[in-house]
Amino acid sequence: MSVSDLEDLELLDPTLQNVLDQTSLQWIFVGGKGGVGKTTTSCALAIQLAKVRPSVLLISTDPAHNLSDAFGQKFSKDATLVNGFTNLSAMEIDPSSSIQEMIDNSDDQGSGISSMMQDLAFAIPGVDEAMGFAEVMKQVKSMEYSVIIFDTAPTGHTLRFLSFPSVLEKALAKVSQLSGRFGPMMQQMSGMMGMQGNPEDMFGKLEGMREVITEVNNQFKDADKTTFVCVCISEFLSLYETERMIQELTSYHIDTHNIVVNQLLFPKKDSNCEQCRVRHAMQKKYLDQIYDLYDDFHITRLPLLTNEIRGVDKLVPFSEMLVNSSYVDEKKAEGIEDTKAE
Amino acid sequence: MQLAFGVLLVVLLAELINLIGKTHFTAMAYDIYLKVMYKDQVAKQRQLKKEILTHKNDLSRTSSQDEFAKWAKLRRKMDGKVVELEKLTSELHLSKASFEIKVKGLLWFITSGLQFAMVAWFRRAPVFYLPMGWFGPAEHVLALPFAERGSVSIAIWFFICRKFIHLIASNLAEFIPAVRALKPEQPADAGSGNPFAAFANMANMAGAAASPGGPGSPGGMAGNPFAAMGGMGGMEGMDSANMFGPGSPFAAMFGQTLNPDVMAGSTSPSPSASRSSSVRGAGNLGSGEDRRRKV
Repeated sequence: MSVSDLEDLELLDPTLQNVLDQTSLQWIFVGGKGGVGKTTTSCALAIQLAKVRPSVLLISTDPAHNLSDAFGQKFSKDATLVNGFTNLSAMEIDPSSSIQEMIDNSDDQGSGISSMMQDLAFAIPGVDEAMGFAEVMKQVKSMEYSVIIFDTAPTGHTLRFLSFPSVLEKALAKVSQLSGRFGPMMQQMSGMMGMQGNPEDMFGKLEGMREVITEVNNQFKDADKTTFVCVCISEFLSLYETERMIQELTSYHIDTHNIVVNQLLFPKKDSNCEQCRVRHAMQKKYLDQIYDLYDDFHITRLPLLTNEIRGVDKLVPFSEMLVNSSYVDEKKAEGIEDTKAE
Repeated sequence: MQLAFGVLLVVLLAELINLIGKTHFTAMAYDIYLKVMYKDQVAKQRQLKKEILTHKNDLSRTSSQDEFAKWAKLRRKMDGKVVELEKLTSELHLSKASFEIKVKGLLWFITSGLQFAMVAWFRRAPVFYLPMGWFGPAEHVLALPFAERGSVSIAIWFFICRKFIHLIASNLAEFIPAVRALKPEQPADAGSGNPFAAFANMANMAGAAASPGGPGSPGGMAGNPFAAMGGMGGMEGMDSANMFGPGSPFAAMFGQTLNPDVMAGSTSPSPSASRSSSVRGAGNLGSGEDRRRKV
């Protein structure tokens, strides 16, 4: 079953147009195994969305922040407008500084504990996810942006991040249960030890947090509001990871119906590059498998380009490929040498 | 007279249950219950397991590199079935747990609760009257808890019946190999958390040393006050096939007070096959299962 045969069958539209069209979407996750082109795809998607949405926010939860690299502009943990756009902002969450801030805020409660917590906090894997999540919660409360795109960390972290709401919800439910029972006792104890912190306040804050988390959890599980775009390359391991990721997402009830296959080679017919042809054959093999397995997904193909996609002026034409599949139509594109806007 | 026979019957029933072993009994009962009530669930479970195995087999034969789509589809199917199986299994476990609690309660009632109740209810009633003057000062002991002097109280009667049945059982065990196979052999297996059990075991050893002859000889047993005490303090609720009365009323009071591990340390060689006062029973390791293993 070659791809050209499949194209005769009823395939879903091989672009990300469906994401642009779905106006109810508020949260879009872009994820996949390392090095597949998540950041490029998420930036490109953000650019396209900015054309059809009132305001777009792009958040990177990847510790190796490359939004700054992609746009050629320094971003911070506060949302900053991207140069050349009026409604597209970007934010890079830096876990270490967020934790520092949190600790400084709670410093009045007792300094001995906070320094210990600081050391501990940096050592916890997944602290990035927690910080990313804190940002999400802030956004939920304020809802300034009509759509938020997450450029996530490689697969393992992403899923932990997404399962965080349910885990946290359960944990907080337990804590509030306990607070009801032990609150008065803890108040007495803290009075004895001379701690200033008021447990009532703490539990109140936790309770408030829990409500927000439940809300976020519900939103993530709503297919109209949240979707996940899987980015992969046409190789065995990436395919395996994508399949695993999709199954896990389904188990968390998070909607996913888009796959972007990146870095595809389209060598010219008379090309004498042995590597290109061999690689192309291998990619074709796995691409056929992808089409076979994910017949209810939109599968967008993106070519491997001869230059790096860095900077807004390269990203904008690249983003056109997300919604316009004619560039990568195998019959037409004999080889793509440089990005050119139509 | 009815009371006397009633008591004898109750003790017989209790000893029978103890012989089979409470855990074994519960397991048997659950098997029957499962077959009756949950037949289709069990069948479904079996079918799911078979399907999962076939899928696993297919999966191992499909190369994930060359036929990834087919491999992934098989994998998805298998995962779905595994989830279903786990759900079914947990449901069955739940039903098993609740059923076992009920059966255990019932067994406890038959072996201990009933005896407790009867002793309390008939505490004053004389089981039968002793011929005048035969027992002299012993009459006071025999009437012990609340019965009038000159009669046998129900608590004592329980005790006597239990001893009697154990005696008969041990003697039978000598002659009938099949029964002997069922009888517990090792004393003090895995501890029972019973303070008197330790005494019983030590007493047994002393008794064995003192009277080497006569397995099952009444003299050896009767002349052993500690053993008697240990017997009366036998642990109920555990499958202690203690010859000296596991289901006694006192057992309920003393059961489960001590750490079983303490008792586990008190091992003693089996004095004789028949006089096997094995005070064992740590939870689910019932005497029934132990017996099976030894056979």
